[in-house]
Amino acid sequence: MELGLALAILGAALAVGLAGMGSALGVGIAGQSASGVVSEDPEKFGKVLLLEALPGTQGIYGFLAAIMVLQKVGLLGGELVQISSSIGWQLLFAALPIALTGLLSGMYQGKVCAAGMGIVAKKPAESGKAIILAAMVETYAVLGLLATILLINGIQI
Amino acid sequence: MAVRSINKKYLVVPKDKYQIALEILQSYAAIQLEPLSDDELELEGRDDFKPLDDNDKSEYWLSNIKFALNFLKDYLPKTKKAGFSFKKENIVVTENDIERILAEFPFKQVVKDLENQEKAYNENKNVLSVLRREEKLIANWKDLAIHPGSYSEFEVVVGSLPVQKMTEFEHKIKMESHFFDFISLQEQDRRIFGAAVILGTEVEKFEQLAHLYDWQGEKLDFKDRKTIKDLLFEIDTKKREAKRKLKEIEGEIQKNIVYYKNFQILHDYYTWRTERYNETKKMLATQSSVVLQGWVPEDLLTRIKQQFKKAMGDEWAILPAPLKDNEEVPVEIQNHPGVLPFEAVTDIYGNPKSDEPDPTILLAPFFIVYFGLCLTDAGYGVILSLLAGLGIYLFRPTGGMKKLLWLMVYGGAATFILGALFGGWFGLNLETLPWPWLSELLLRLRVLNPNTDPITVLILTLILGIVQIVIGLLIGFYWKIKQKKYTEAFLDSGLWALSLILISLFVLSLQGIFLADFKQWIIYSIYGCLLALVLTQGRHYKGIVAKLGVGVISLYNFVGYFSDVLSFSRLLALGLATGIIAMVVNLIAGLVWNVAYVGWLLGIIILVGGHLFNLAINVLGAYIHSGRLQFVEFFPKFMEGGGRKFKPIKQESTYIKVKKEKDGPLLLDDDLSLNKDLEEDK
Repeated sequence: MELGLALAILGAALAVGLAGMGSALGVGIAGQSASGVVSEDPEKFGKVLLLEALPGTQGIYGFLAAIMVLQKVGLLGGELVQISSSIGWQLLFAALPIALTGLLSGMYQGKVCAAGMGIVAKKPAESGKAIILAAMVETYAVLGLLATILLINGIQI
Repeated sequence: MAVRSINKKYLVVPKDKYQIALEILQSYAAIQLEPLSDDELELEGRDDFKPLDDNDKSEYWLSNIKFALNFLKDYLPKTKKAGFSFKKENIVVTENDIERILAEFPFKQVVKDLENQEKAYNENKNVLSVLRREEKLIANWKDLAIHPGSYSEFEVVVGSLPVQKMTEFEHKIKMESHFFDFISLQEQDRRIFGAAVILGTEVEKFEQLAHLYDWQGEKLDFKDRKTIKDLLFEIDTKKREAKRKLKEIEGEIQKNIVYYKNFQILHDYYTWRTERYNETKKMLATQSSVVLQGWVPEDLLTRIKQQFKKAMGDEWAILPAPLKDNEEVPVEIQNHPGVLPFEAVTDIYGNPKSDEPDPTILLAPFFIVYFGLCLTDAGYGVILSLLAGLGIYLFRPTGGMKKLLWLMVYGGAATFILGALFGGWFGLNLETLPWPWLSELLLRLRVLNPNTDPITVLILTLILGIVQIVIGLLIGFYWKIKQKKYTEAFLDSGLWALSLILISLFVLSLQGIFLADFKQWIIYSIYGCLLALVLTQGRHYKGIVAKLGVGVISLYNFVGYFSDVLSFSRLLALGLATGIIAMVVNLIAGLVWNVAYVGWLLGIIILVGGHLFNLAINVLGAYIHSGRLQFVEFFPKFMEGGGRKFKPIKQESTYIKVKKEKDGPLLLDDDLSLNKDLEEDK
């Protein structure tokens, strides 16, 4: 019984932790490039901030998945649901799609954003293209999140 | 509503009036000049082209005006300096105003004055800082009654040493008091500043001794024998004088602030002038006339002809110019004001080619629905519309920012409608609202709950995807027909569209939703389509094997279409994410609400901050993902894009907005009688 709850919590922790790591790495990489652009031209701050923020969404997706897991097992207010270890495993696995896609897509989106800073610096009118290029990487985190949401929704307690 | 019709023209104008012609073209943003060379156009009586007046100096004066603006900016009253950088309040002027300023405002003299004032100001600033440094240096010994230097029998030196070595040092000095005396003056930064009186012959000995105690001597060289106090007084007087002068110069600079507005107007005027001058390098001339080559929008031609006629009588000609091989026609898209905001989406991708459709109006209905689906919260929709509307009202943005903010107003409206249909209201649980009547009302509005029934929403998004992709293919089909590329139209767009429609129908009939009795017929039609694809898609290759092989491989495109459709599932994920984060914000606010005394305050802060954060991050997501679905999944079905942007010579304003006068000197709008003449000319 208790193992089930522990596994569910592990799932939530992995979702927040790994996706958050992806975002932290991504925002970090993008932020370094962003500072370079701002040092040359402080007025571009708004544009580079937007681009730097893009890899931040994976962390939020992970957080969202964790909240869904916690809600499912009643850790967020309400009655704590008694779950079997098999349900625990299910919840843990259900959390993995966003955890893994969040980690990698956050990291790589950060790299695309960092490269995109060059567009903001040299051709500010084309900044939108940098954002779209970065958004391509995010697709897989969105799909990961979608899978996680559908899986968690589908698990019967 | 489409791609603007732009054609290449030659313009021939009299040499002594080319400036007026160029001014007219610039004021209407009517031409993008192409450099003209002798190989392209052989002119009889070819002559060197020299600008007529001091135009070549306009760049010099422009930089002078920029200097004046920059310099005066620091002296503007505080209230004018503050404010957001993107808040632009243009100065509205007429052509007459500009001419009056040019005639009456001796700006070249004012610029000279300002330069001199800046120079004088900086000089005095320097003097002041030198004096301050000097003052700071000697102030440490200000209580010394005698001046440092050599006297007949002794010498006075000044210096400092660390506080902790002082006792020992004084002790040593006392022991040698027949040679030295030490006057301690003050302590500063853990050092004692003082002066030593040394017997003339023992200077070296003192230096050796003092060195052991970290003594730092300061060489103060005074020409005349004054005490340090006198000297400080002198410096102070000089400082006062310098400050007075600075004030005086500042006062003079202040007097020039009244010209700030004039300089702003001149800045724009000289910017245009410089641009016109730069364009002259692209023209060719004969002894009596100048030839321009460039891209002119069809819709402006009549107006330009009117203005030319007014300014130059009949001494001009506009002729069609031949296109070079593979020359790209510049592109500009034009849309109805209601659709204009969606250009913000098209602009990210770039222009279509000149022979492709303008995708703006085509993507508009899809984009706005997707945007709403990504947020699906009626409350957020209202807030987004209000914020964007407020932004438009307060900052009066122009260009891209204006389009974007209006797009957000539309997006907010769509979000409100879809949010109400999906039961999203700030992430609240509608079943447990404290007011049953409100709960009942909102629940009645809700037709679908994505939280409990995500699969239905997923199917809905996929249907939207299929619909948009098929429509994209049909647009491609229509466009190719219009261009009389019939083979491509039927085989590359039509056949695929038909296949996708049939497959969709098959799925529907399989579910028994639609045409269930015709299942077999649909299957046969699909086979027919597949066969047709296999037979036709390899038609560009030689040899029957290659043709059929490529035909079979082309079926792989179905995988591409399938993944395109699946890509639309992101709409569900993003929509759910908004709702769930909103719920979490409410949850956390609810938890802190019970904290004693300040709970309500913390709760409100978390509610406002949390929901705004959620709104911001999801609006960004909604915008870029809805956009991406257009660029990646929709556009390639009917366009390539990458058209060259139409960049006419125009009056680029930083500060002013020109109001055209009905009876202005040059820019007379619709003059019907002239128009009539022109019709006859044709």
